[in-house]
Amino acid sequence: MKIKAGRFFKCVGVTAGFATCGIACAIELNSASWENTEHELLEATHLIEIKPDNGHSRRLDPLQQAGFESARGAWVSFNPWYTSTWKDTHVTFMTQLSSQFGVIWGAGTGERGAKYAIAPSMRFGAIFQTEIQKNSLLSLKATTLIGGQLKEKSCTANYGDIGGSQEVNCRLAASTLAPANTLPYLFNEQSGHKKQVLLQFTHRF
Amino acid sequence: MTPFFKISNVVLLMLVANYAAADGKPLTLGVDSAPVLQAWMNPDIGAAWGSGFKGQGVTLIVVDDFKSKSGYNGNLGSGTQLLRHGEWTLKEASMIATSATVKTQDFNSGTAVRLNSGLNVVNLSYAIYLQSGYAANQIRWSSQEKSLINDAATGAAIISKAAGNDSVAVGAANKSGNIDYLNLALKGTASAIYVGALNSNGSTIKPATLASYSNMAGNDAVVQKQFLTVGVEGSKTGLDGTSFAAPIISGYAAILGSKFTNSNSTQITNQLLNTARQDTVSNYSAAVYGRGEASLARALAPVSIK
Repeated sequence: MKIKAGRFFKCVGVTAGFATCGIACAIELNSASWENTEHELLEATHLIEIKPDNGHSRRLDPLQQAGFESARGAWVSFNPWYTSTWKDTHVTFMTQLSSQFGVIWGAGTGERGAKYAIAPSMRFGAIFQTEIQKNSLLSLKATTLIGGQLKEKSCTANYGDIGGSQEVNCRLAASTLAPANTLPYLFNEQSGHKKQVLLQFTHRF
Repeated sequence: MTPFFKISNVVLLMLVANYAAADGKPLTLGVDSAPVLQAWMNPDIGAAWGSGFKGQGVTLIVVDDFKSKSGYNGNLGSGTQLLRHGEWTLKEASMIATSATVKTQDFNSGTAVRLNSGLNVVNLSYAIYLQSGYAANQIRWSSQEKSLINDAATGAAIISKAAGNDSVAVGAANKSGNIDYLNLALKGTASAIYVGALNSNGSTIKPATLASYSNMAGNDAVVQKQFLTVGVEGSKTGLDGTSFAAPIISGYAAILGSKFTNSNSTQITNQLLNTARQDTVSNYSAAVYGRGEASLARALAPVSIK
């Protein structure tokens, strides 16, 4: 598939809605309208975003520096459990269907560590754009994410004579919670950015 | 002659710098709000509260003075108050194990201490002094002390006993030639802990030292094995003495009991003793610090995890 990057502009404007970081290309839909054949659909597809994660991956980052002291004073680091060689990466495309309308689609790779997994995901949405005056565009983008769930695995802790071996939430093994009561706190969540609506005003000068 | 201890033999193990007569005014405990980490507390306590239970399902029994007209000024974080000795030790232990069920018994009662079902932690911040020369088994104890000694011997309850303020080894005679015979009676029992006072909460960066007034473990290996220390920050609270060391261990024991719900008194006692730190006290020796400084963080943690 031939991909054309969107053009960059100097933008002055106000963006409402959820902002995302990463590589983002400003989108301008061509004002001329044309009949899209399959070839033309490919020609009309633009890479609009490559983003490191959908929120879950960044949320786990602080755990890499965390840990606790064992009963014998040894440091138990969370780093080996919450580190991955590959970060969940999202790639998003926009296929222009008309001068004012396009569909958005993309996928996330997912991520896996020793004690967690972020499932792969797919993103679908649409963008509507209108020229409200010369050189000023107003666009409305709405997307939804399918998949991308974060699930955490438990640990087996040896508490010695006082508690024996028990299944426990790794992060809460040294808390005051009884081991069985830590399990409901295992991460088991949908993507943090499941639905997004973005209203953007762009002015070129 | 078999001595029978009298109420006059009972000595409250706090330094009386802030003694005040209550003059018949009511001494009230006040109502505490949600747990707040106070300046006198070891940082382990705040970290342990995190998201967990705090002594729930455990009964904390404080045997102390709850009836006299003697009060002491102090401040455990909710402003200066005038409270009886027992009200202070109860408040201190309750501020650590905030979800424990609490019971009080005036030490003048002489009646056996009744335990609740489940785990019981008993705080004893007093001593029973008699002239030295008697063996522990020569003492004719009241039903109260008899029940407490039996609970420690059988592991029926955790007994957190203030070590004493005579700057001598546990079990040794003080300058007046008196011995705390309750200490002697608890020696070698399954679930009694002697609690000495450090001058501050220790850390590896700033190790603590034994408070000048605090009794120490001494050369008796049996006593050393059941002797712990904790920081008593009297400069912050106005309350000094091993009376205020024992409630901290009582609170720790209650928190442990609410986490390890299938454990018994002896197991919890051993957990606190076995996880004490020697690297947060200055020039550690068993004769001074016993097992070392109690560490709630380590007592809650697993030995290993995968």
